[in-house]
Amino acid sequence: MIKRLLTILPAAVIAVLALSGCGTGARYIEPGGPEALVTVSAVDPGEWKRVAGEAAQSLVASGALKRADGMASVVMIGRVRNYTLIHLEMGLLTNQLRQAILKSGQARVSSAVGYGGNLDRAVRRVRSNENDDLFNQATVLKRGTVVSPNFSLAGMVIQQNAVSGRTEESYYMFHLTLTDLKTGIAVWEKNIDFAKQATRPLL
Amino acid sequence: MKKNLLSTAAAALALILGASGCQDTVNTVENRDLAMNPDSVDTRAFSTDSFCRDRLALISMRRSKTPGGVMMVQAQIRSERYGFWSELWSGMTGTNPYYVLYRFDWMDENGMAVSTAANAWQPLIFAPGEVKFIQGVAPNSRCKDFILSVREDPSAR
Repeated sequence: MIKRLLTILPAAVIAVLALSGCGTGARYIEPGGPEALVTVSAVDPGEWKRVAGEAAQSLVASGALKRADGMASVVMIGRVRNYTLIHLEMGLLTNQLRQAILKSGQARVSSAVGYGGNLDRAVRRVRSNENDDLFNQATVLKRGTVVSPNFSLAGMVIQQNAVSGRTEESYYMFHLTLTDLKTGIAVWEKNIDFAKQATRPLL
Repeated sequence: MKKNLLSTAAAALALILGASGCQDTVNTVENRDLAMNPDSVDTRAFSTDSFCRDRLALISMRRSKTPGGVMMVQAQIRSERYGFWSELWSGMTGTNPYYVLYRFDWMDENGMAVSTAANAWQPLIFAPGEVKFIQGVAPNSRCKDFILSVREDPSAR
């Protein structure tokens, strides 16, 4: 019995040590880089970056933001509708687009109007202090100073899933539109799509 | 003994022919008298991966100005993984198609890198012999210089 125990114990210790060596500690990876996870059932960080990058490049290259009178355009970030079956945090896309538009020098981005996190309610709130005797009225911002946007950037995301045997595939398409708010006409549109496939193991 | 050798040779030949026959290569044809007048970019490369260097060929690098007034560059790249041995090897190692990642970095007139939403690694998939065009757009009109980085995609192996 003791002999048997002495045989099993070292084997068990070796197995435990080997298995514990399979894990890795927490470490930094490049967001969306080669080490990042790629999943079929979600939009991964690399894809958000890819969509934002392609959209920003296309928008800046198109010249749609430029105005004939030389004035800088003002863009409001509208709603990007999620028609997928999963929760998508659209701020991961719109935040990058805001910055790309600003860096391009072709337009400015409005925080006075917009959807979700692109709207800063402080623009309206500070003006509601105009009758509040708590505030020095000379310092309260007056109405009629906020710049109205010329363009609206909005869009949608569509997902389609397919399963064949053990293979699962997801197709995502982002559609973004820049609309001239004066005429209501879309002056720029861009589709960015990608598909991912994975095959489950047999066992 | 001789019979065994013949059987083995026949099996090996069948395996090689079978493996090479599984390749899906891309064949191209283009007009000989080109009408375009591109602005070619002189390039200098710093290559650290001999596999990637041998598998992809930079055919041309061109630049133009977009309607938005910013610089656009385009790299024309062809997968060189065609031919009997390349096809055999990539078929056996499961690296067909060839997955790579690329990224553009842009510098302003002072040589300072400008971070943009677009300078993330982007995936690209090459079938053997396929020609692809990689385009990069400068984040603003002050950026004139760029670096194109290409690497094999380790997650696709």
